Amino acid sequence: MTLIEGMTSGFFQSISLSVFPYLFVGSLFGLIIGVIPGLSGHFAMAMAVTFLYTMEPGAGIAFLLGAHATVAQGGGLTAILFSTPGTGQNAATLLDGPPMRDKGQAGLAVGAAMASCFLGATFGAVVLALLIPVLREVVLFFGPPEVFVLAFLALTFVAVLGKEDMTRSLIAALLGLLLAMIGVDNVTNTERFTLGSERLADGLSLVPVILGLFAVAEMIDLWARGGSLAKDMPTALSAKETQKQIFKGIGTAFRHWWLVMRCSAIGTAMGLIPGLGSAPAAFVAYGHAKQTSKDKANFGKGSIEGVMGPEAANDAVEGGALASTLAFGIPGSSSMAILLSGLFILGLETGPRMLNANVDLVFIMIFTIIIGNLIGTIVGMFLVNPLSRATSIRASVMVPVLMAIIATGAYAGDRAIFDIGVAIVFGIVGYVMKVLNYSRAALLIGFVLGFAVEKNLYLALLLDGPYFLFQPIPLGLAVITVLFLGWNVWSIYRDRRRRIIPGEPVS
Amino acid sequence: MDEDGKTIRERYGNRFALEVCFLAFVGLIVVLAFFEALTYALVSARTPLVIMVPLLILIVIHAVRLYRNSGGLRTREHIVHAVTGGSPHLKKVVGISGWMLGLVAIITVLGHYAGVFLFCTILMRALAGESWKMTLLVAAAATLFIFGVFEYVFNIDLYRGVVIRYFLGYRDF
Amino acid sequence: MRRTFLKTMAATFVACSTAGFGIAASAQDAADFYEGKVIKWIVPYDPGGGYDEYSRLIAPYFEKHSGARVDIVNMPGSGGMKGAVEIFNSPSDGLTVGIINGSAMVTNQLAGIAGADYKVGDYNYLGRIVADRRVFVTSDSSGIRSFEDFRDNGETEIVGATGLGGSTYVDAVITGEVLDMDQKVVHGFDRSGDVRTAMLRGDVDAMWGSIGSALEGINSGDHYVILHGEKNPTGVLEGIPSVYDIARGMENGEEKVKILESWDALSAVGRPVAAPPGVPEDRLAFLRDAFEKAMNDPEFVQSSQEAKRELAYASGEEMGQLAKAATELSPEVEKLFVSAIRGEI
Repeated sequence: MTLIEGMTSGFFQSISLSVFPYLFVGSLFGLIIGVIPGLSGHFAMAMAVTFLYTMEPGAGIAFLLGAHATVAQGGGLTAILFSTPGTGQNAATLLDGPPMRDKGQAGLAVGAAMASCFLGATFGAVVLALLIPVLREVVLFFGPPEVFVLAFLALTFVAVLGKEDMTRSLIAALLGLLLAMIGVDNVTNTERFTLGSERLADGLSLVPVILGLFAVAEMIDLWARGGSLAKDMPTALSAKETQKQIFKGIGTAFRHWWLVMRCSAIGTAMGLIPGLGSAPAAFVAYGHAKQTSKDKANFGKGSIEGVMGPEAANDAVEGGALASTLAFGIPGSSSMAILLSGLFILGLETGPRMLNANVDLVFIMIFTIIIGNLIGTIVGMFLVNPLSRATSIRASVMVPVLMAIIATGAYAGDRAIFDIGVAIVFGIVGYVMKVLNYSRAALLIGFVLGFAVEKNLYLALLLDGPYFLFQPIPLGLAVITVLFLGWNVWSIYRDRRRRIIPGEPVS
Repeated sequence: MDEDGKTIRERYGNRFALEVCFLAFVGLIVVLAFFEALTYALVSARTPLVIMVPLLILIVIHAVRLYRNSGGLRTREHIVHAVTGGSPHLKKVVGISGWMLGLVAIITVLGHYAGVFLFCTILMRALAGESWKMTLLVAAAATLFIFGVFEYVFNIDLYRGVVIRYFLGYRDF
Repeated sequence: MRRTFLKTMAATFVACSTAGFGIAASAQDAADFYEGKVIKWIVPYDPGGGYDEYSRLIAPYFEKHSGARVDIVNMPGSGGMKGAVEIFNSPSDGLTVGIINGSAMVTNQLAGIAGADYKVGDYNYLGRIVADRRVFVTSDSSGIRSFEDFRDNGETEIVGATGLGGSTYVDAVITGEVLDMDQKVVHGFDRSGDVRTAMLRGDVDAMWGSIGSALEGINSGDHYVILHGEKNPTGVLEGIPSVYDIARGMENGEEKVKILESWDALSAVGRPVAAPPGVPEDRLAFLRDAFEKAMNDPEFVQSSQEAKRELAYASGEEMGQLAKAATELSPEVEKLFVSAIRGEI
């Protein structure tokens, strides 16, 4: 089957009556899972897979990928409206989404976020399609040395995020790295920092930590200050006003198409790298958006670019991750692993054979991602109104209810009470960090990348010896990292000397 | 003056005191972790140590900087003031944190639903002074929502609590 | 005399038929008990994995032959131990069963790993679904096409493995030790899929794995099987030496074969379905019967073929013996295994 035949066949199959209903239901399913705090793409896949045993391949793919595609969109919705990240990928949206809501621009933020998600996903899917002939070579490109240096590069983006307050951000990032060390060491099976607890031997789960740092901390803040979620808005926006804002937001995303494309490219590229997960991509995109913005000061206070960047990236990640999963049948992340098993259950084989003989199925996947995101955007628009009303409910009602849902979401991941405790502890820590201006984003990046950095470093050393760094590609990437870091440090000093120091003591 | 009746300077002083405590706490933990890491084999200890050395240096640098800027802030007084209940804001924060941990405790013993219901009820009624009608309505609605979505739609068994599990015949909790 | 004889006969007859009736009655009791009830089936891994797939494939047939509804619950964690412990400590009313990673649970128990709060030998087994056939594959780029190549090429080959104590690791280390293989085991890869990618990149030369996961690579020409652990090779494995063949050709062949047989006992435990200790006899018998019927149901066999999942049924009683054989090893062999699991070799 040639590429064009596959493309047309795939397209018509995606919109056919036997497939489209599953696509629709799957997208809704994913959206709802994304909205509920703590339930992530991994969870969506796990739930979706259980339904697959009775489906045809085409329908099954549509259901599975439709669900996967919209989780990040739903997560973006809650991140902006309730300051609680629905999934790990949406943590970066918390930096500028809630501030926009506070200013009364919730609709604008949501519209921009959803449109960026859609554009990002389309970009990722298209790249996937274009890469099909060379997928194998591209994925084989990333071995332990490359992943190590790339993870390190992502880590240096902390410098960009924490520009205003380097010391605090670096402390936060290093703490995050240290937290990633808790658990059983992959190499020698020694338990590190586990205090003898068996639960800790598995390490800290990502979802409770994110929920704690961002969602629970927000709840503590809300409870302590009273009022409602939308800080500066005493009354809710009218439905009409919200609708207008949503359309304006969508328009903004399309107007900033170049930024959206760049961030989508970042997302797709990072999705191709196995083992990094999707949260770093969003933060890297955020950092990039900030760096290239003409309005840097507004980042963190409600800049729409700070919402569009991460949202574009976190949906594009899926396209990239799917590419590496399809090329060999080797999953790049845990949700991809479940997706892969889903494909096996449907009787599909991935790898070169699928790419050669069943190209139309691959295109069904691609079109499912695009159409699924579109459905998610449209449905999401309808969800925004009722949900944004909730942001004006007073704290004394909101906090207990949201906390209960957050606690359940924290439990649902691994069926562990311990995770609820983790979320709460990190909530307290996150609140303190928020008050003291320590970057929680930096801690999160450190935490997420810590394990990837160490594991790949170890494997790289074992496989190639200490000179692995001098192989062409890792060397090139390392040089880029050093240059990038150097430039950022220099620009900080330059800004400091230029800036007139305000009355507040510099700390 | 803002809603707590404090001046900006006082608020800054409070924040400063908080940061001192936070930094001291973090510093202590990292030092303990440092000594813990020294007991591991080199292969396991290598990465944690590489992380902790710059971390400790940064903490020290930051602490020094804080100390230099602390002139006239009477940090110790702020800490004492806060600990002895002088700050309503802090009281609220500690209150909710404590109750959240209490939520975990109740869930462990009595199960998820009892925990959620009691948590919502206590928070809304006792701490926030909402009316009984509102409290019970919202608490019940939240519990039912969680039940419906998680147990029914997603088919996840929420934790039944040590007590119930014991009576069901489980030998491990 | 005749009367006593007749009387005895009559008495015996009555006794037998009552006993028979009793057994039949308790079988009937058990069937009645399970009719309409819900059996909780614990899977110690995430949905979509092999254990989950096997469970969901067999569940409808188990339901058919037991009359009860099967409710599959995923409980991932601690590499499968969390679920295994949950099964072990569940109420013993016969309403909770689960599938476990038998071989991994055995190695964890032997090595005394924290969290192994169960005794593999004490489970009430319903039976075994499959025992993965272990094969040793090399990558195309390593240039090794047979075991002779591996042994005689004078280079130390790199063998990839996932975690310490995992089956890929234990297989590599034990066979390497026993067969005196010139290899360096690099472990620390997250998943066996990552090891496979490393093989494709050329970072790693060989790995141990189950034949199921290796088949695709074999068929596409990326991988070559040079060794395996089967005593009676069939299909793709015909003509390829087994570890026993190699061992027999070496010094101390008999001892080596014995150690390898213990190793085989380890993998023979495979993927069993088990109930906690203490389940009443009649219910256990009923469950075992339902399991056997489900495993042999022609529709089930067909659907697992379509899903490309192998089957290797063993009954509950056989499983009990296999579990014992795997955990009751001779002291020297146990010492060897434990140090292998702990990474001390």
